[in-house]
Amino acid sequence: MKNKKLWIISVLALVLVVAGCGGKSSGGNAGEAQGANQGAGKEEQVTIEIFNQKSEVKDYLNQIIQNFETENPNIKVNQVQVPDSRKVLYNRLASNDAPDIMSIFPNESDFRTQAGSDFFMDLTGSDVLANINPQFLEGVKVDGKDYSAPLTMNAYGIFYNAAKFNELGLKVPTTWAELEQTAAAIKEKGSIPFATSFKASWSVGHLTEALLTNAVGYETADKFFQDPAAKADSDPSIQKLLAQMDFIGANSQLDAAGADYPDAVNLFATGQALMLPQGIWAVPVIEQAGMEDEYKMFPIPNDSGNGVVVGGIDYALAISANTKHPEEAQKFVKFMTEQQTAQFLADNEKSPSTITGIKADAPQTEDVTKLLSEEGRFYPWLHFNWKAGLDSSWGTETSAYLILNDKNALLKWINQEFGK
Amino acid sequence: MKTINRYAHYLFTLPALLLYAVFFLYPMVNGFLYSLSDWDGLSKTSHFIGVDNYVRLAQDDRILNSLGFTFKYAFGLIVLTVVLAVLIAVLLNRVRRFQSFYRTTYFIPAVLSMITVGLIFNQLFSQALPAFGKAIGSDVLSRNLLSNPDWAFFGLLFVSLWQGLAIPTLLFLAALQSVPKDLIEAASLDGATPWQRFRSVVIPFLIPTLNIVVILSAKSGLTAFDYIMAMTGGGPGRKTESVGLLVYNFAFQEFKFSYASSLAIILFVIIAIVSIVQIRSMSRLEVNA
Repeated sequence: MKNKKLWIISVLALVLVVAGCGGKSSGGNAGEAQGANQGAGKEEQVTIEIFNQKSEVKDYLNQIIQNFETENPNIKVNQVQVPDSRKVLYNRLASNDAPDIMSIFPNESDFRTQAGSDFFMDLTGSDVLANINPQFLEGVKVDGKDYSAPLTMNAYGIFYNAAKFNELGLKVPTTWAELEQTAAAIKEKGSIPFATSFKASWSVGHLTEALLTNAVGYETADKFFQDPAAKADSDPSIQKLLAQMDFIGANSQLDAAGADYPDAVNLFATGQALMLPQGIWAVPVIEQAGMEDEYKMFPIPNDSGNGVVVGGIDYALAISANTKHPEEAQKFVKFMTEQQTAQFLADNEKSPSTITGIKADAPQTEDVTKLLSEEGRFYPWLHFNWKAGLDSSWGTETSAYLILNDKNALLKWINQEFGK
Repeated sequence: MKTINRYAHYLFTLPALLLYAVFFLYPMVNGFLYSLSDWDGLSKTSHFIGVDNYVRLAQDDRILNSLGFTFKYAFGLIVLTVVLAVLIAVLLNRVRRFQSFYRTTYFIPAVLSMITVGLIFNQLFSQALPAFGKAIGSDVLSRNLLSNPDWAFFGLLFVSLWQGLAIPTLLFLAALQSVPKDLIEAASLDGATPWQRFRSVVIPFLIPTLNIVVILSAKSGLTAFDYIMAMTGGGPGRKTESVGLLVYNFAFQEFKFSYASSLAIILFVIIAIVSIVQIRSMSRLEVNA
């Protein structure tokens, strides 16, 4: 009698533990089973998941999903949007739990590595991409194949407070020398020339890549990183970049070292700083910070007076190679590329569209985004050609230089990581 | 029937053993196997490369830099935790009025999550403290201390102490109450000064707790991650990149997953050695009551 009890208790304890461990996955199974049951019914209901990495798009995407579901009552689309999405997505891919559709950044080396491992559905020549301007597909092919549907673009430049510029009688600078004069004039009037955020190392990474591309031209800069013989200590490109970084550092707010991205945006939106080097993705954040003055954007000046815009594909979707519902997933991605949807996205999210015939109406950024389609005025980010993960280290090291001013540490790091 | 009885107690360990195996042993063995490969965290395939990762670890400047920071941080944390926690516990033990109020107050930080505390202090350091610094006209204080290469370390240490003191204080408080009153009374009859009483009578009773506290704070110092992630992100530059954060950065920022695994294994070995040395050396000082 006693022994029996003992057995029962220990078995019960074991069951409890096992049940606790399996809690999550059994929940998932239940959900799937439900989906399957519905599928067995007359309506053939299918649920697909879209993993969205851009929080800025979330609300508009929900609207689009609603429209899609009205058109396709048998397909239900679930949007998933989590913080730190890149890590979550990569972990899900690595553990064979890929979402049906996911937003990715198709220019990045990490995406290309994953595409090489057959994580994504090959869309080459498929009807899904028919509405996309082929010019934009060219840059995101992996081994000549299309694994993603690019939908919008991003671009980098310098925001400026147009109202204050007028008030102070400042002209929009086109050459680097003019930028230096403008900064000096702003300083003289008691304002801060640049709002920067050295604490957000990614923002410094973007800034320095865009500076370098403009300082020496894309080809020279790109070649420098690919060429093992070009050492950072003696290379004129890097010397020029360092000088420009010193200039930006000297003309930023006092505590740029301690400022994070929202701090810099705030400084600009409250009119304390008159220029903000940032990508067009900052527009919603600037608006949120309560910007009242009119603001616009100019490309980073260079010596020729024809500053180039650096950018890449911003919002893009890929379909999992192992999705259980390939047709439905393709149908949704196709829906995203249709005129009506793309126009809706462009009108609200304001990023330039890759869909043929769609124009985003965004006066704040148009001086920069109009260059995206101009020959020789637009170049991709330098790090698209780097090893996966080097872009974030580049940001850390360049921000370290701006804060600690240790030139040799940066040069040594560049030599080491780029195999020089 | 008899056999069941004899082995029954093993059965009761089964749930714990199972949990331990699933959540600790399996990941650790798996992590070790990853550390022998060249997996980047992105590809589906990886190759066995033997101990290459460990050889590269030995030559990496960032590891040394990070180990240096981590040891300095852990050492500072251990010393200050022990000194301050004993001090606070002794004072709390003397308080007669509003006793539970004070004890609860000192314990409150322990119930908050580390990331929450880190984020709150991040705001204090970036907004509140500079405002105060400007008001008193101090140049150092009017900037974010966490981005100051000389001060970021102390900023982090301060926050980990603010929260990390709560539990050690509680443990010491409990230990203080286990000191037999008659021993103290006897000592004072023998003419011992308050300091002598504390040193020779009270401290031996605190040693077992001290042991635990040193191990706990050594562990939290050596594996420091949460506060650093929330407050400095390892910056300025790489000044506050602890080993824990470096493992994370290698794996999830720089896509050197197996390299990160090998560093994690090294960290495990270091903590194991520190704990063993520590337990061995301290147990000799314990009171055998």
